Amino acid sequence: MNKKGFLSIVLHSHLPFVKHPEEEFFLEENWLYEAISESYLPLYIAFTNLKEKSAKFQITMSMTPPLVSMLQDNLLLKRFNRYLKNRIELLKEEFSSTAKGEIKELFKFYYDRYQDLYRVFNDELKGDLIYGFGELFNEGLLELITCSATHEVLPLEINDKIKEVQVYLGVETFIKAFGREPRGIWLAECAYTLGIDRILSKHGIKFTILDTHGILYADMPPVYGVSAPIISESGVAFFGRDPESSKQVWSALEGYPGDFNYREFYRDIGYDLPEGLIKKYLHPAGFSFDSGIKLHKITGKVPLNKKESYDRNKAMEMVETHAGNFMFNRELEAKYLLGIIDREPIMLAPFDAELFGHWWFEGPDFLESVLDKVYNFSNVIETINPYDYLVKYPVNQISEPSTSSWGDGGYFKVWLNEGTDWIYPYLHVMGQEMITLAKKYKNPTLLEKRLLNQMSRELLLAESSDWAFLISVGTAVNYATNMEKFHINAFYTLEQELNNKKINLNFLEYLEEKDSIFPFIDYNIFK
Amino acid sequence: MREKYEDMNKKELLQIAKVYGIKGRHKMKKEDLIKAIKKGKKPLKEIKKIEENLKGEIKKKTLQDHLELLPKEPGVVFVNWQVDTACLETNEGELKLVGGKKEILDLPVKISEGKGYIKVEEGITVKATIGFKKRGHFKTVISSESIVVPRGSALKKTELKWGKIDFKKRKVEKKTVTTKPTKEMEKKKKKLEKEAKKIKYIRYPKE
Repeated sequence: MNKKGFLSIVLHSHLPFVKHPEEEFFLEENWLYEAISESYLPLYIAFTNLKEKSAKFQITMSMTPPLVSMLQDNLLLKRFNRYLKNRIELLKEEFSSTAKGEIKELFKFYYDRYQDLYRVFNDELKGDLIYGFGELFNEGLLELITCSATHEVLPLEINDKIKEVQVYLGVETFIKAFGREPRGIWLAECAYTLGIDRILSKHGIKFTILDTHGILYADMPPVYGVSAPIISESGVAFFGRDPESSKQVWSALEGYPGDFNYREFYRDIGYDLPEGLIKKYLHPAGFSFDSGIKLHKITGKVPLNKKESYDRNKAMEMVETHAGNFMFNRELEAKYLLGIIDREPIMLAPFDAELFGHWWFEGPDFLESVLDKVYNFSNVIETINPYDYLVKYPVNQISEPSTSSWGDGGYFKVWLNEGTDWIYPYLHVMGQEMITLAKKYKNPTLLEKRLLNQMSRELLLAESSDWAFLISVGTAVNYATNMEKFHINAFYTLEQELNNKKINLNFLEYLEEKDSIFPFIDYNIFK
Repeated sequence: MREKYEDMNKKELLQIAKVYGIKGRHKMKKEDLIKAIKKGKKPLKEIKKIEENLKGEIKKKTLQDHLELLPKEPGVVFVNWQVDTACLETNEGELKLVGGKKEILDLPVKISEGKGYIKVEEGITVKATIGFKKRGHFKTVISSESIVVPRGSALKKTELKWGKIDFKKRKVEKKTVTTKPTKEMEKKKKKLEKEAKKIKYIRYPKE
């Protein structure tokens, strides 16, 4: 039976490259451990559950180079296992001693959950999530796509050569991790401007995703709105965000994650535990911070100390209700759209992957339920990835997308404002200097080559959009500012050593170990 | 990532040993060279100190002359420049913005450095230039790359082109298609546009 439309869910998985070998416990490294244990592993488990039930589904997921690098880093993986073990030990102590009633049950729930995560990560995956997702990719269930090298907002990059290096390294990292070329790319922050399509096309990219207005404001207004892709003259397809699909999950006002039965994000036992337990299991200095163990539900608009206990069964009931509602609404939308256009529409819903699980605890269960329901019960819609939609509908309208991003306001003020505009002159000049050095050093010594490669890494890490984003939104401002300055200063320190022919090998080795992204990099890519 | 000394050949190890000033290195066997290099390394404490310094203020001003023009939002661009004026006759200059062939802005500025957010027409391609007047003629000191100013609304063009991507050739094959915009879809697009502007998405960390 012919379906009336397609649902295409796209998850963007990304974290900034954060690695601190100089400290045994570094709080910002927890961003990775939280994301693995709360989002990436639960998503992997949700997809493999569906596979085991023989449910045919299609979902798309980007894996950015910084994330891929961190998921392959031995030090970080070793510390992640410590993170899991410490929580398992803490929960064991809590549920077997003082806790009573529903709190005791919740400790047991988390204990079992972390044990399971530990087992899947170490026994099933042998610590290799890239392999796990890669298997689902090879089986045609998961469409993995890449991203620019360090999540740079490309319209804010002046130099075309640097834009190209960002795309090239995104593709190379993907090939090294997954063994084949990516068909799609997630442009960092969905940020686009004229000319980026030519770079994508040159590097074999077939499709990407933009926010709604990137398509609606294209130079030739799109006949199908965002219900079909447009293609640029250089041969790249652009899919637009369907706001109807996105808002039900992601709207701050009416999204499902705000349901009062779901788990409360801000109430965490990391702030309630006695210092002794924090020191023993979470951080030797006794800092209070998010542990990932949260025992309360949203409850309503009440202060954190008035939140009621989390009821897992009730939350899972709501997951089923919301998944059913989401599918029902997509079916209505598909029927309506098919009535006004002459092809089956695609409804593309892009999200940050970390929304599912880390932010919205029940998110991976919701996705599993949606994909399961669409496969088993819907006669109206089916799931698809953007590439397969292009195979089904190869002829599309030619139009040049509009300059846009998916950040607040739809353009670039999140990354370019009074608080962050000091960054861009440095990136511009450093980029120019790197290009000049790449041309100058044709036959470097071994050490010079290593130093030039490390300069490349420092430049690329300074280009990451994350530092400006964190500064603008007021989260981890000091850390983000320090890291931006660190990469800029490291670049200039190395350059000075190169010019003075006085290389501090100890320092170089330290940087190589700390900023170890792109182990295969060759500075000649900047030529 | 970090290359292991054991994997290096003797020539490479000798280069490193030279950096550490290891005496008698040319007479050493490979194993002894590795031992001497490891012994010659500086303690982590010193590195940590260097690292702390790197997190501090950026000590170096960008040395190269530069002029950036960046898109911020519909009708707004960011301009930033720094120029070594030592060999110029004057520091009093002008910032010009040119859209197409038309000059759209001419502001008196200090040539040495400056920055600002400038309102310009949406959707046009602009380029910034800094220079000074000499005997009635404008002398360019530095120019930016051209950028497209973001546009905050849809265009009203009606031309329709269709094509199929040839992924191998990375080209678009033009096709003839009879599909035309429908009134219902035009209405739907207006609704979508309104909806998309209204929705506030949750971001983590929250924007």
